[in-house]
Amino acid sequence: MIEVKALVAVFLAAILTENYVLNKFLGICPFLGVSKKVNTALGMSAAVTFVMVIATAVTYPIYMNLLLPTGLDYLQTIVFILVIAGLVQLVETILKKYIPSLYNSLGIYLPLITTNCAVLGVTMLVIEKSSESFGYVEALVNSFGAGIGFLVAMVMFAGVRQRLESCDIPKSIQGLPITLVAASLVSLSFLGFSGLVENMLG
Amino acid sequence: MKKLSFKEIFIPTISLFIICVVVAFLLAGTNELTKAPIAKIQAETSQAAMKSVCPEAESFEAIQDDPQVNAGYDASGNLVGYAIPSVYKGYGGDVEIMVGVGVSGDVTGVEILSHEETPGLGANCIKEDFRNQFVQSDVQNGFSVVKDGTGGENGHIDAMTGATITSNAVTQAVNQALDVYNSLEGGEN
Amino acid sequence: MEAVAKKKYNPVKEVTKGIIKENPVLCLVLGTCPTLAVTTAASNAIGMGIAATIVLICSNAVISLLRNVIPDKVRIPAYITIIATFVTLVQMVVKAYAPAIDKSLGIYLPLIVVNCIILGRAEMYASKNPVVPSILDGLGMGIGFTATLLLMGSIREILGNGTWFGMDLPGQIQIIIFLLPPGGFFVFGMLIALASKLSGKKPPKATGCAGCPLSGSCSMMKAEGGESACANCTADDTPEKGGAEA
Repeated sequence: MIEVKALVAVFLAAILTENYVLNKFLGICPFLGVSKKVNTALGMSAAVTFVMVIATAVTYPIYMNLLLPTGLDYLQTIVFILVIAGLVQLVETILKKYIPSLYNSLGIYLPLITTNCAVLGVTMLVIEKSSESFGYVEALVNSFGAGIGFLVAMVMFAGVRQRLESCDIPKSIQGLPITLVAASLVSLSFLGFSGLVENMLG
Repeated sequence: MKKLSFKEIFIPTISLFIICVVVAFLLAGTNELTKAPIAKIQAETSQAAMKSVCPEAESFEAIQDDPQVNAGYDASGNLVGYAIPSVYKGYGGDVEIMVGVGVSGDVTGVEILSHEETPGLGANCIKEDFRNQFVQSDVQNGFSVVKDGTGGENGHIDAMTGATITSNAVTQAVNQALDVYNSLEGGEN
Repeated sequence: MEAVAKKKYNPVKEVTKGIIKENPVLCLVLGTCPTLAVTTAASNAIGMGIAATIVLICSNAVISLLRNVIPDKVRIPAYITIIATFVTLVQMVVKAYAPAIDKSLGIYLPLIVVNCIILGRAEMYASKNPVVPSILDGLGMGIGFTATLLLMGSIREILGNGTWFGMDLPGQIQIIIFLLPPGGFFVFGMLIALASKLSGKKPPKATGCAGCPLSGSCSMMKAEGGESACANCTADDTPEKGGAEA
């Protein structure tokens, strides 16, 4: 029986203390690129979350049941990236055909996700963690949490950037430099969560 | 949409297939070549870690009850201690350690095998100043983390500055190893 | 090799453009994830830089060789397969002969697969140019990447840990925040500002279309879907008040 408390801890840790963008530096490109407006940030992170969960759902059993028993675990990188690329394509085609409304809001972000290192990162990290306590359910909860963590970081950061728009910024740090300084402060705030989950749900 | 001709489907498919076949052979070959050195390095690393935590031992042998645990023997074949691996969750991920326990239950050394702690804070757990605090003899009750500078005796361990979680993780891992030792000793008597 | 190629183009320029003028990290803003993640120590930075450079050179060479063989439709999957192969090869070799680097780079070593620089150069350069220039381009970009990582790694290690390549420095200062994620973002921001100040250009606004690693699949999408669909472009190239780009 999987404890609900443990799952909540996994979920919260993935969002707050192990935030993929702000703590592990995965998925920085979309974080800096697509976070200018809150609604694009929302769309992108929803698509990322979606793909993360599906990708984990597929790659985890492939690794555990196919690659590991046959001693082919060295193919992990190549198999995972191809599975993710294929999945993204598949999801895009299915959405386009059957749920056009969802496709219209998420579809444009999907091709960008293949090379989003957060997605490949999540699928690999849950495999790494499977040696300790991660079963299939924990892995799925963790990648869902990672996606939500991505969403939280993106939306918060989009809010910060909208404020920056109306500020008088010194010329030499306009553009990307000030964006990165803002990112630095946002990630500083996430440091405050350290130890929170352990102590809350110990 | 116009129907794709046979050629339009066939050529991309076959070229991707060829790439995959070449790739598979290349990777399998390299894997064969690097498998032995990787295994050798892993064996050497774990030997070195065991030697470092049980300095008196000359050779190690996995014990029957628990193949994870290695018993250390000196040059004349006497049992001098155990090298016990242990894991506990730290701040950034698992902290894996190797603990050396002497025959009388004293801790002879602690090595950090792997960790994902914050550089400059928790990552300082690999430093000797911290690890050597565990080398104590009267530790039946296990170790506990303190913040008053009395570490190094009576089972007290000084927490590292700004890295209480890591300090605690290493301490708990050592305590787990001591439990393993106690169950071994209990089983033998 | 360079002497033969000299007739057509300037090989020195192919290499040096990646180091200064088109520095992949500071000017094109590619490969930001490893830049931020592994630069807590100078030695990690070097390890990452060299690993990525090897992959970059090899994949550029192979993709350039096969540029007329790979059908256009499947080129992105083909490139990804080729890149992933070299990454796996490098990973195995590093595991076998430099386990310390493997340990400290951890998951970021296999993640070279999705390093934007590599797919970006494959799509933007190697798929259109002959083998030798592609190799030189990969070398230059790799050196630029490594040098930037080394610079960032040195700054963060010296200020954050008071050491350089693990050696203690006199008058140790330990401003730990430089080793933590916020310090990474901050140092990176300052370096970009410095680079654009020195080169006299405006700092890049964001990961724009020119530097977008997906400009390849993006134009592919345009061809297929007919609409400009790249979220990066639509999000960032929308004209802003007075934000005229040179």
